[in-house]
This record gives sequence, C-alpha cells and structure tokens, in this order.
Amino acid sequence: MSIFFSKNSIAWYFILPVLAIHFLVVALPSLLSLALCLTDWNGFGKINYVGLENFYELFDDRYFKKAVWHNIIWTCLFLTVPIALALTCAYLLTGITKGQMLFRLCFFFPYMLASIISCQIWKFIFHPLYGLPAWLNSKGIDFIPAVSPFTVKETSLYAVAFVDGWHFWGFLVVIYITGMYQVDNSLYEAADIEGATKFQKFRFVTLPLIRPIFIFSIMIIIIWSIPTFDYVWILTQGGPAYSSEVLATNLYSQAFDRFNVGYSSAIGTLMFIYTIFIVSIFGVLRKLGWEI
Amino acid sequence: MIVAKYRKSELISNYTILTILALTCILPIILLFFNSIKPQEEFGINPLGFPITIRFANFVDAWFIGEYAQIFLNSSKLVIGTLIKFNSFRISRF
Repeated sequence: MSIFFSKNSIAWYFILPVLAIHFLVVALPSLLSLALCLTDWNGFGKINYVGLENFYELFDDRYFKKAVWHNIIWTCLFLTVPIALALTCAYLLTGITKGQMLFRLCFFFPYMLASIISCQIWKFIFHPLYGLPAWLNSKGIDFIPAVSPFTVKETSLYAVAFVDGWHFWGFLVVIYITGMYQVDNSLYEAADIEGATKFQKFRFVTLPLIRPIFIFSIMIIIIWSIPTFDYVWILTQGGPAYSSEVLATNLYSQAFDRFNVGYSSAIGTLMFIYTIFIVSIFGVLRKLGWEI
Repeated sequence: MIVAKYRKSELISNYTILTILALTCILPIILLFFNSIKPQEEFGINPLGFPITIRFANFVDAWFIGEYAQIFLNSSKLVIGTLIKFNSFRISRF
C-alpha cells in the first residue's frame, strides 16, 4: 500500500493529467499519422494497407519535388539575409548609447505582431491599386510594375519569404545583442591597443565570443524553416501554379483539399525524418567535439 | 558591452543605417495605424498618406461588426486554459 503513497508516486499523480493531455493531443495523433502513411485513407472511408505505395508516388510527384526545392531555397534565404542584417544591426546598436532602446523596440516590434496582421499589411502595401508601386507609378516612377508580387509566378516565393523575414529578423537582433553585451569589455580594449579596426574587432572578438548564440540561431532557423506554413498559406496558399508551395502547404492541401490523408501522412513522415536528420547532425557534431 | 569610441562621421553613418532599417520595420505598422483611423471615403483617395480627417469610430464599428466581444472571450479562454494546463504542476506545489 505504501508504494502508492510514497513521495515518488505522489509526484507522478501530479504529472499524470498533463501527461494524459499530452498523450491525447500530441503523441497519439503523431503516432497515428506515422501509421497512416502506409495506407490510402481518404479521411472518412475504409482504411486499406498499401505498403510503401505512397512513398513511390511521392518521389514521382513533380509538385512534391518543387515543394522540397522551395523549402531548401527558403532555408538558404533565411540563413543569409536575416542573419547578416541582424548581425550588422546588433553590432551597430552596441556602439551607440543614445536612443538605443528606441531602435531595439522598432526592430522587435514586427515580431510581436500576429502573422495574419503583418501579412495583411504587406498585401496592402503591394496592392495593385492602392499600394506603394501604384503610388510610385502615378508619380512617374515606373520601373516597378504595379502588380502584387504575391501573384506573379517568378516572385511569389521571395515575396512571401521577404514578409516572413521582415517579421523574423528583429528577434535575431535581440538575441545577438544579448550575446554581445556578455562579451568582456577588456577584450575590446586589448584589441584597441593592438590597433584593430572596427571590422577586425567584429571578426576576431565579437563573432567568436557570440558563437554559441550564433550557432543556436542557425539551428532554430533551419528547424523552423522546415515546417513553415502560416505566412505562405495566408499570403498565397501555395501560390500561382505551385510557385510558392512549400512542404507544409503541400501537406495541408493534400490532406484537406484533396482528401489524400495517407499521402499527406507520407509527406509528414518525410518532414519528420528530415527534421530528425538535421537535429542529429548537430548532435553528432557536438559528440565529435565541435563546440556547437 | 562595447565602449563607444566612434568618430563623429562614423556615428552619423551608424545612425543613418539604423534609422533606415528601423523605418522599414516601423513604417508599415504606422501605416496600419493611419489607415485604421481614416474614414472609408478617404481611404480610396489617400491610401498611403497621413489621415486628413480622423475617425476613431472605426474601432467601435470593428468591435461590433467583427463581434470582438466574443473573439476576446474565446482568446482569453484559450490563454487561461493553456496557463492552467502548462502550469498545473507549479500550481499543485502550493
């Protein structure tokens, strides 16, 4: 009897409700979708086991390949532009004292907006009748055509990535700044005595010392760019002629527009494997003694 | 923390770069606010500029047309539910 009332098991009783909810809403659906990727379920009918048929079909699917390619472009874009902007900004911000808080607030403000709001703002700014390009055209500057870039095949993915990056890079500024403030001032003084330029100080003092935060930011960007969904779905829903389709929107439209639930579970499983692969790369490098 | 030992010209260029970047972040949000207080007729003529006539009744309209009372209630239910779910262990310690 006492085993049910020992200190250890009482702690388990307190965790039990949360564990139960977690199992019901997170673990169970995940496991179910792992099982469904081997079936041809359409959401309500009979479930037939089809083996690896979904995966064979998937590797022949033109649009799925397109989505994978777009996801890779998306990751590359987010690994370069927001990081470069945020590093520059954070380094410049640590050099100034007046109005620093105001700048930090401005940079962080877009991150606090809900995704639907920032999407609507940018949809309006690029509006073909009321937006900024139309206004410039009416003033005689017409090298920018007055069409929304979200509706053009060539630009839709980059336009969506721009809006997401606009919302995201302020967050990077904030985490880089906190890293830069932890750098010991005496190192900069030593660099000054050696006669280092501003760029050399950035390259050889700041960058190596914020390395843990830098690597962390790279990791979260890679991991967050795999299931990217909300901005693409709100702005273009996969875009004109699949030109901004990413993995998550492909999964969503397969599951809830075309009712190929088994097929979209297969996409989900591949995304899951991809994420595990990326995380395990970081884990393996850490085991090998890289300081990341 | 870095000691600010910038020359004046450098400081000016720093502030210029930072101001341009900060404006790209904050101007769309200011535009959102400006458009939220323009009356419907002015919005068609002057979609990007300062509001000429200010109409705060837009907010009242939005509150009733969008049924925001219900929406805020739903949001707060969500917040309270999440707080209770994820902090139930901490609450149980008291």
